[in-house]
Amino acid sequence: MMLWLLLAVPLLLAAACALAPGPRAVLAITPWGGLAGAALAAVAIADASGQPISAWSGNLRIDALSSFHLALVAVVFAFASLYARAHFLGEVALGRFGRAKARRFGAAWFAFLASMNLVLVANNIGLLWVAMETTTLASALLVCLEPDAPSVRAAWTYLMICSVGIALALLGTFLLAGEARTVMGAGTSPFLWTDLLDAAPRMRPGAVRLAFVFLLVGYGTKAGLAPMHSWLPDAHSQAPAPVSAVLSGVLLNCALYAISRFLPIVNLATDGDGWSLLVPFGLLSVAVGAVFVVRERDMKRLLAYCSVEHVGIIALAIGLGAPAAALFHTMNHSLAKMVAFFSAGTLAHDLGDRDTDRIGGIFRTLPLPAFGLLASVFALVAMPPSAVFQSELWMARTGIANGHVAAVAAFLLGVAILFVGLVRPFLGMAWRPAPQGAARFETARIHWPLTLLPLAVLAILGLWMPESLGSVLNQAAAIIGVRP
Amino acid sequence: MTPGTDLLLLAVIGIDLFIASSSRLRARIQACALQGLALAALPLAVEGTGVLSASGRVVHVVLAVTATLLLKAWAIPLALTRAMHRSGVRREVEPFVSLHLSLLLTAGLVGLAFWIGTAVLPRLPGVSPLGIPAGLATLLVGLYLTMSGRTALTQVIGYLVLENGVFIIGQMLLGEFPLVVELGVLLDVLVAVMLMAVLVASGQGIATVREDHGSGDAPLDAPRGAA
Repeated sequence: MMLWLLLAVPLLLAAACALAPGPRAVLAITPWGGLAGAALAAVAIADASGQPISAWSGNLRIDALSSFHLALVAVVFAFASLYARAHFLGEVALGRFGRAKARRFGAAWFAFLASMNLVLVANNIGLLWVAMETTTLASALLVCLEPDAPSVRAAWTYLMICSVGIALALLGTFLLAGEARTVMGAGTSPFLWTDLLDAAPRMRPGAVRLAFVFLLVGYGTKAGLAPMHSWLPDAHSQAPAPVSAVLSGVLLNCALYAISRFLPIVNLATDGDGWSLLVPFGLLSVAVGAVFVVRERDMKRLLAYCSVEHVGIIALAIGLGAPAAALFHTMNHSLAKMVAFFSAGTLAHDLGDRDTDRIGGIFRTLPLPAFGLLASVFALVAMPPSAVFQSELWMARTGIANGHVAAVAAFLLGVAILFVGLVRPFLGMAWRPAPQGAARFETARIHWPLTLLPLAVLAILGLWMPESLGSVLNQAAAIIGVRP
Repeated sequence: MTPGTDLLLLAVIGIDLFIASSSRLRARIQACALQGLALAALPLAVEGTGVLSASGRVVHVVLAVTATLLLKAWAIPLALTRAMHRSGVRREVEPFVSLHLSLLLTAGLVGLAFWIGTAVLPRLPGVSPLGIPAGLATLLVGLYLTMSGRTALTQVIGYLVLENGVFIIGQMLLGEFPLVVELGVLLDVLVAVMLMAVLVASGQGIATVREDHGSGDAPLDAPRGAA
């Protein structure tokens, strides 16, 4: 029942937004809808905390791994909904957020939530694919909410590259199901993840490996793993700020989640090949992120390349045999990137500029977003006491303990380059004097908790890991890390 | 398995070659619709029309065939035709590779698909020997079109052909899909193509991708939705 509500309520909210009488009605639904979605997720997660629950003859299922990601989606989406209200209310006042646009936003926004929830609760791998493609469709609509040429172009590239990429994941899905069908007994379905996991040790390694390559390239495209990341900087930088926060903060996680769902099946069938396939993609993404960050000046594109880097780090962490560290890093990245996009969005919106070489004196004109941006950037580059430092340290230590010294060294080099490349342009915006006669901008009151709460959590987690979080991470990681 | 299956698969490959060698977008869209028609008929041909009298499966097959027919042979081609008219781009502009070379390359891809499908992969019992090669060929031609196409619509057509290839391979490997998966995939493809068509027709200069967009005659629509 709860599983159905996770899908039905966002869809009803989407319908309500599509029929709303005006932009203010949509913006009244948005924050409450985001909070309602989070509350539903909390109840579902509590229900599934002891034993996984399933529905619809096994097509939907929620276990520790989906619970963890569901919680992240709920938190980031609720925060982004609150931010979206403040952000678009300003646009309404300026006459730039009319009824048609507001309806389009609200419908796509909640359809996006429904599709992400479906990704996370689908136990049927075909349904998982359908949900993942639906996230692309809903978010592409949000990317080109502003129908100007750069946004339409970004939405086009996003839609095209991700759809083609994901079509390859569908082929991988069919290949895996086709192989599973030959070894499965009666009463099981080659599309159900739980049945696939049982049958995995009997599958032929070659066939499963082939299927996983397609799944990895397909869902990896959606996750922004290099070299399939080319759409990401455009889409994430052209989208409105609340949309960027969700795209970077949790949609990338959902794609990585899909890959990690297939890992135990692949590892059981092939004696652990899945991990070694992830490592090169992870390392390449770290390298690409580091190199492009150094050459970039646009605030939001800097953050987007930083996402490529972090997705690479997470994939690498799983590949090096540290899934718990990977999940901890996923969570830290989501929180920090969300605040970074909120703050950068406010700055870019109020200053009308995104060039880090031109903007100056942000602490004088916009103190709170300036603080939020710098603090979250320092958190993202793993400056202690940020929790990102802890998760990266954890992963490096596990990697070395597992004998991957070269990969860990390359990863640390990438992180060092990212540190310099990302901190330098953002510090410049704080140090450079403000332009003559720059006034101080008002900041909506809601921005205070939206900025400070996640940063406080990151700082606390950097110093102290509560036992309950540790056990949640380990339970979820146990699902990814099944050993043959 | 019936002789109809092999005929349909051959038709699918023929359409691949035709799409790659034609430069008029309208012809490509029509060929795409024809391929959708062949795809809709495929499950009937694979299992024989006897499946329609077998109880239990009949609803599944009828729904899947009807949905494929409606979407791939009618709704999607219609959306693409409209987008073509609104964007004003009727044919492939200065293709990267000439049409003759394109046809040659595509024929090479089909050959490659046959080699992989017959010599590299093991033969699947109870499946037409043409099945996997036809699916692979369609997939490769689709990928080729998305990468080489200079007009946005050619890329969309390439995406559709790619998706058709994936579907043929799935059909051959699995026989049938769970209904919710089959309908879900179809619906996603439909919405994706509709969205792509809207973006192409939006007049923001993506109808011809990778072309210089400073050439004064770029079509300019009023921004939509900014009521």
